[in-house]
Amino acid sequence: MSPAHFIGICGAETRKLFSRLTARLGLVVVAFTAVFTVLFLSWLDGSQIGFSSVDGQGMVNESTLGGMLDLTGASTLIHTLWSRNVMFMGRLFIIALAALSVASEFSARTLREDVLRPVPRWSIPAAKFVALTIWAALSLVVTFLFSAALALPIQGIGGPWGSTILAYIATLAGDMGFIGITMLVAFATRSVVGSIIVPFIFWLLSSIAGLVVLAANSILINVIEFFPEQAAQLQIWADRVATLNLWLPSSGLELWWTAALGNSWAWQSVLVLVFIIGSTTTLTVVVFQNQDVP
Amino acid sequence: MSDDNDPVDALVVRGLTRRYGKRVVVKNLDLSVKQGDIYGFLGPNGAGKTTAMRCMLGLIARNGGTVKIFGDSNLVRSHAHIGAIIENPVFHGWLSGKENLRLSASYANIPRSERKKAIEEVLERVNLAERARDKVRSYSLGMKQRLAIARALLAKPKLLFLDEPTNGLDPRGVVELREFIGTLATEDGITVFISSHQLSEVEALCNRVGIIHHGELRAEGNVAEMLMSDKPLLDVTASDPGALAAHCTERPDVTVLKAARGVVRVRLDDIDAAMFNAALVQGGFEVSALVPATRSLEDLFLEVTA
Repeated sequence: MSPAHFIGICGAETRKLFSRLTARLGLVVVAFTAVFTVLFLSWLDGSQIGFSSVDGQGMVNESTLGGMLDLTGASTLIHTLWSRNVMFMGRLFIIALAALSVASEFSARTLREDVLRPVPRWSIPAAKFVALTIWAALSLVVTFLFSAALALPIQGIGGPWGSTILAYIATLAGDMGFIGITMLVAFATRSVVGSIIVPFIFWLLSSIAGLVVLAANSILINVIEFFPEQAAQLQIWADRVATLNLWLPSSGLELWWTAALGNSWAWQSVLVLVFIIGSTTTLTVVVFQNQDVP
Repeated sequence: MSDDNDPVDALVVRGLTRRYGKRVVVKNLDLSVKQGDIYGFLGPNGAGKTTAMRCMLGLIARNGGTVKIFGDSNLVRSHAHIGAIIENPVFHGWLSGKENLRLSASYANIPRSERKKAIEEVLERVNLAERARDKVRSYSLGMKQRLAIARALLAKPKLLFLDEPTNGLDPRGVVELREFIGTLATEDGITVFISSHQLSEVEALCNRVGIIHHGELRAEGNVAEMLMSDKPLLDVTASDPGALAAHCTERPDVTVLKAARGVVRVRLDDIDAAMFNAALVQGGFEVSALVPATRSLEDLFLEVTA
């Protein structure tokens, strides 16, 4: 298969994907989420909503949420990313589109027409993966542009632009991980509903596992003071547990979070994400290679 | 049967086998389709026709055997020479006919510069040019069938697979399709491999047939030669057709082909007509007519699949 032919079928899959109502609706929802987040933050920034506390010397400290947010143009763009990712708005559409573009083509039997063309089997899931990645990238561009168009005039152009850009790039990598997982499930099960539910449950369980590990780490650190003679040993275990968190799938899929906080990326998390993308796409090709097409 | 390496054969299948669990759906199937043939692939429901076709096209894996298309067993390469319509025509309903063809053209690797012309040509050919911009979900079944033919012809195939292409078509649609397939073979030189239940259609259209039953090829050859029977056929009308059919079934010298509307068609295997008539009268049957019959594809089909 020539590169030009592969680019051609990637183009066909992209046109097909973007012609779906779900894909167009997804871009609108992502844009709306970005606009809503910026407007909400701007309102919060100007409001007096907050809380007061009394310190040990009887002094009253009053804080507003707006003051705590310390909004800048760049940090607002990170908050919109938070809405897109944590609120699952963008990712829900990515998972739904990946499920539709594979499982619904099995049930509608349109996948058969692609297999009957002079293309190797691997190129079909590969072209779908490329098309879905293009949609994910475009949805991020939409998030970025709509946020920037509103946030920069309001909040100014200051802020941590380096980590903001990195967070957007890491989000795209995380999206590719979700695309890979969903496509694998969709090719294996041929069920749209299953292909949406399974990646979500996978992400949820992985996140819960991450929280459990963090809790275990916190417990270990806190018990050190009660067992001073075991402190060195407990500290080693606390470090090991903390490292374990970095090897969980959620650590790779949510790499953007590390970037958004301005922290450097742990190599384990990067490796996990690369492994998720690589293994799911490879397995998808292997599954489809040996699969009967109705 | 031609040699495996014969370069003139459009399709050569040898030992094709497909199992679903312990059930063997296609058993050691051998068949050959020569270039220029209109080959009818016949068989009762569940005989394994569609499964065999899917195996030949690489849609489903085979448990054994080889498939060569124009001498090439590489499926990806050979797909460049084929067009296919398997079962009902399927499209992305939310796209127009033209957009569906554009997607197929990309997969078929038709150069971008030739794509528009190729699409317009095939749409014109199947009389869908005026509705090309309408969404496929608004098409009738007949229109979808025509669009499926346009898609199959898009990459100028040399071999066309059609699986039950007249399913769901009205009588006019069936006639139009038959004429169109005939044109493809005679004017465009396309070899056609067609599976169908419409025996009269196949008889009118195909020059060669293969009959599959329980996953095995039971008969294959030139239609005209296969219909020439060395044993005479008779349509017998008698007082009690049911008893007559039962009586003939028990006789070793005749074969009952069918019994319908009071007439029993038999093949005289080892007896002549006069002696058969005498034997019937002696058996107590009141024979009112004994008419020589011509063997049809339906008779052949019933014999082979009995």
